[in-house]
Amino acid sequence: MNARQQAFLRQALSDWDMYSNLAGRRASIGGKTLAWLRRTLRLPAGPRDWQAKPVCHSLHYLQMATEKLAKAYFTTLPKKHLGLMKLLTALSTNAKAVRHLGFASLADLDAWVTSAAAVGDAVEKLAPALAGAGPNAEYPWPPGAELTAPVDHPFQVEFFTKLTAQAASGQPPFLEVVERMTATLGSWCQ
Amino acid sequence: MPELTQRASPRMNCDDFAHWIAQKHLAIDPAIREIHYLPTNAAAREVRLLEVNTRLAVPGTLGPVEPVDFMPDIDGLDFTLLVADVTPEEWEAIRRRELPLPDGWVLDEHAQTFGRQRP
Repeated sequence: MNARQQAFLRQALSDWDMYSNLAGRRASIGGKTLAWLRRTLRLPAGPRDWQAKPVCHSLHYLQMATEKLAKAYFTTLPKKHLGLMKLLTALSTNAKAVRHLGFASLADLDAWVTSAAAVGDAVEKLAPALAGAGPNAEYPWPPGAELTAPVDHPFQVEFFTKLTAQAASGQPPFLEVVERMTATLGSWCQ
Repeated sequence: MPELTQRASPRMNCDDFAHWIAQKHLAIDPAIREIHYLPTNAAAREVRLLEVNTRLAVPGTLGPVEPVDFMPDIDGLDFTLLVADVTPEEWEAIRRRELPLPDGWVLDEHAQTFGRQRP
């Protein structure tokens, strides 16, 4: 990795840490995060509870972490947007990543990439620049008539339904593999 | 031509690899509308792709067209894969010769277009 890639990876690691905290990935019961349980069971939480914060904040950090992972992966950085979908596409032909991400073969990694594509696309569209007139994790929408704020939106259709469907596909869950990417990317990119 | 379901083969030539990898990219990324393979002037074992990507569209802005090294690492294959994303608007400007391609890239009669396979 060159110095630019290393800088993006350091920031991706920190963004992922923020995401993990905000999404409650470090607090779980029976394999389910407290954030997921609260959302599913509609349980209230105290105002000092990180996991009680609107989901837009954790999703914002998830989008930022994955975009920086992509920027850390490639040796050159175009001026144009380069995000998670480019990283996923490149991963499907990267044998070096197979073992680090917990797969047995490149075919298995390729199959996971296919299963994760809809979630990856949803993550990229959390960025305001790519969301068009639809929901994004940062700014009220639609542009020009901003009446809906991210804090008011559950992102169920845009993100969580796709995340759940991917996890139910039998492939390793999207977030588990992204977590391995953040931890190991330095070992399998150029 | 190899089908998407087939694995990459060491016997693939550049044209076969370009077709195979283009179908793979189209299958993974729903925002890629079509892919143009530009073989003219490419180095040996180098595959150059222009991917027309609707996710990137910012109305009224064009270029520059910059390739990214996709660094494929597949046993038995030694191709270099360079991919440049363009918006649909940029693709039209490239066709009209109003937006330059990266140095050495050529859009001519040898270019091939890969689109989505119909179900």
